[in-house]
Amino acid sequence: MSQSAIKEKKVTLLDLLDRILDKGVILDGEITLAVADVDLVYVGLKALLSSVETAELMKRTAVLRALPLEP
Amino acid sequence: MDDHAEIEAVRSKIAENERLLGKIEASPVEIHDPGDTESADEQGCYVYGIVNGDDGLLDELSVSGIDPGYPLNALPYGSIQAIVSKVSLREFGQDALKANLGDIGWLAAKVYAHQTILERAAVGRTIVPMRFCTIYRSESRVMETLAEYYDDFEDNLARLEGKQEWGIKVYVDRNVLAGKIAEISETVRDLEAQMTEKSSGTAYFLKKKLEAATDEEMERISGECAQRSHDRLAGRAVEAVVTPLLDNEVTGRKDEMIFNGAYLAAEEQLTAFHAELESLWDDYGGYGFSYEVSGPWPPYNFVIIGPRRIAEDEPIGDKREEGHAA
Repeated sequence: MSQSAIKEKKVTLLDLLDRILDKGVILDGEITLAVADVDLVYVGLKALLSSVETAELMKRTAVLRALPLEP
Repeated sequence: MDDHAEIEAVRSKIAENERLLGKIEASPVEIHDPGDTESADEQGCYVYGIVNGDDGLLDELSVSGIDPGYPLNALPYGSIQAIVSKVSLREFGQDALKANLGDIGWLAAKVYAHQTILERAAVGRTIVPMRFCTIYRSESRVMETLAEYYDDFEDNLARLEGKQEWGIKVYVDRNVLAGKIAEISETVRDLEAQMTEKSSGTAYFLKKKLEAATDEEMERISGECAQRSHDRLAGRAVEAVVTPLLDNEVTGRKDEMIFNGAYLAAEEQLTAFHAELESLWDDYGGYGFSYEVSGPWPPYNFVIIGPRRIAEDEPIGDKREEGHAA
């Protein structure tokens, strides 16, 4: 494993969701994501991923994983 | 709506989402017309994060809010300021939000916007990031909250200064590990040696025993890899937390996630932190383990407010709990 490969920054939608949905929770706003809402997001992701054939799934996952942080 | 109906609702949006997914790549933030007609009680105040001072922050950000109809704003209180923007409650109200969360296209665009705003605000500055969709009824309610938690915000800003969060996920390719298991495990080696010596009748039972032992040893070695990876990385960081695993249905990967951790590293620790990661690759990479790095992140996992430690440390290897949606 080269240094450059480790330092390569690949931020994906999954990485983002894994952080900002149920972490960085510091205060309860008056409208916030409930635990149930966060679960719903993951149910939605699974539904999205499981609703397609394998070949399509690979493509979809690639899109989810490759979603660039910078336009 | 019950869980089942919610899942169905999500599913019914999939076709639409596919189209949107394609669109997001080209244009991350959807243009939305807020109209001039929204009254104050149809608006919420979205809070992105808290930073020190009032230093021309908004000029630098030059980006619209998460609801593109409204600009970013800073609400100063004492020596800190909240980065906020108004949002339409037609889109971000509790019920609308719940519906929108099931729409992957909407979700992707909005988490992207939230992160982009935090990232730009965090350039050369310490930030206390808020969770996605922390929304108050009014700016004055945000000000009250700043006053209430003022000391906590100051403490966090001081503690987090000059530090970065990095995420490490460890995956295992079970086929590769299975192929290497005899090399690592004495138990498995012994069983294999016995099999070559014994008669075919006994060999059958030994084979079963070997299969069970192989599974057990793979679990043990994965657990050891997770624990040692965490310990070694934590040794190169100021703070560390173990966070829940994501299962393959969510990651869409063939390899199983065996560890998910977050590390808060001071700038002067970064070289050693990355070197430790390389050394872990050298030690475990050959046995089917792979490391996925992300960062630097705003310190989502390392904000402590009041008596409550928000980023609760999880036992290593626990999955997110699901299915308790009301």
